[in-house]
Amino acid sequence: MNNIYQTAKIKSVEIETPKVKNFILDSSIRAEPGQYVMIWLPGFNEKPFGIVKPSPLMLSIAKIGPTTEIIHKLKVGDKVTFRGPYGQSFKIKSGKILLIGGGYGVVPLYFLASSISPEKRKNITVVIGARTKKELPFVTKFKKLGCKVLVTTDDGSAGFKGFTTQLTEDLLNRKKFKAVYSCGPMIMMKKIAQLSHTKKIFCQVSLESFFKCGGFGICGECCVNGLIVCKEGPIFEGKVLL
Amino acid sequence: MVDLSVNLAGIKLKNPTILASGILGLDVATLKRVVKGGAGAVTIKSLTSEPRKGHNNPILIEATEGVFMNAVGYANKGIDHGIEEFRKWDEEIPLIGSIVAADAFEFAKLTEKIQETPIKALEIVLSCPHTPGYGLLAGQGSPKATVEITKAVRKKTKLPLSVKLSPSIEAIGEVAKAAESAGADIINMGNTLGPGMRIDINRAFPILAFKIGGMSGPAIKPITIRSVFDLYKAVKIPIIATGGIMTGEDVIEAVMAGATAVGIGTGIYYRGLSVFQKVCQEIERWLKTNNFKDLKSLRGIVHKT
Repeated sequence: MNNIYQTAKIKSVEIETPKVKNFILDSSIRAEPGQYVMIWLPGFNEKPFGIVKPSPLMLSIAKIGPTTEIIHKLKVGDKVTFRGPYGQSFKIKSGKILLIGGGYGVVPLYFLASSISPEKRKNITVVIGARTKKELPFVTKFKKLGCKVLVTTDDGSAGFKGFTTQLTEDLLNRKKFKAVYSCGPMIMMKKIAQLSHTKKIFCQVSLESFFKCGGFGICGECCVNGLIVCKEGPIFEGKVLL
Repeated sequence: MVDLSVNLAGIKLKNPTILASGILGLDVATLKRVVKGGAGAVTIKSLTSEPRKGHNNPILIEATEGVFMNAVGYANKGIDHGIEEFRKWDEEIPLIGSIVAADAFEFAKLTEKIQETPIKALEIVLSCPHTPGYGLLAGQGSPKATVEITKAVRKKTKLPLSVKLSPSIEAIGEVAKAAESAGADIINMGNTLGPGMRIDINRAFPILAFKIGGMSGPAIKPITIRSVFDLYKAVKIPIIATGGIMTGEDVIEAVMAGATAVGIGTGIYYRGLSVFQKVCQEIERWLKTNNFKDLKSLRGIVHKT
């Protein structure tokens, strides 16, 4: 039962960027790309986190607030308690696909790319954007999978100087893609949904919202324009943002 | 043709299913989806005078098979935001307001304010089992407090007034009579059951952040049915059966015990937003098969046996 809490131990911790740590647990779950787990810190809080890998369970966590600050202090051997997976997964199209991740938003996209068989990963182009070079997450990991990786930085310290949306527009003008998948800041995903819509390309985005009941879809806290993000999402077609 | 419509204290509902308060009732856009799901009426999430953060997570867990347990702690953006939001209601399906407050004076003030929205009825909740300062934890479940609060609210509104009671107090008949005598038009029976508690043994910690929570879900239905049965004998005003109602057969059972309408909340988890439609189809089928033309002819029939 995915509603029952499981407690695992941290097997290893990787420092991905100055803000992002990857936690690999000694436990595995069955999950689909795009789904998430709710991590419970007893006596403190419970928050959703996208799944990077289901087996062994790997989570990539950016330090953005009090809850993630506590998680960042966890060490190898410490307990992590979670329930899930929850939510809808990406509909993965065969053929050339484009993944666009803004900062730590690349997390669910990595699970998506790794779920595609190795010989087909050359069809995957990934655009990863961050403010500056050292904040770019998962570049090596996507390359190791065999994807084509393009990076953008706001300050030009690596790759294209500018936003992921500019590079995406250029890519969509020059190449034919079967589908576009995006996760990152809302403003970025909106723009990407618009671009995909104009080009009539299938597009999915991963929405972020404030979760309370987290996965049950009944408390209503996470609703955006009447969409129950924790249950009907977090993966939606881009058109919901138009 | 069978008739699913019911008359709830003067409000005509196209069917007896009402979205219970606290479920998806934060905004108009989401409530509209519940209307599409077939609800006969929808209740907003209870509003308080000031915005409230509510309890930390976890606020809701599956406590055991058939039981959910929650301690949300009235997270809401406050009455002023609520008025702005629900003023936009433009559906034919009735919108039911819901308020909670610390005392009769505050309830009265909220009653004045909430009437700036197009609500068709008002629910006052005297029965939350898990929020300090409100409901059971503030002694609002007693006959005395019920009279005091109901009277104060009654003075401020002509709308049909529903009082939501707790199934966890012994003298529910007395409390319901108190509400009726003070001017209530409807009894909502009732709030979540309990409170209960679950501990995660791997962490040696209560799971809900507030440690205790009210229980909902199919497993609490027998308590709802018994409570409605008791209240039907105690009061003359219509009763909404809330707690564990998941199917059309559950509605038939509640109506036989004496309910006029039903509240559905956790049922959305089990059967999706279209739970209302599904429940109505099941009621219709049952009525046809058993040669009843409407729900009215079934109401309270077990009291005659």
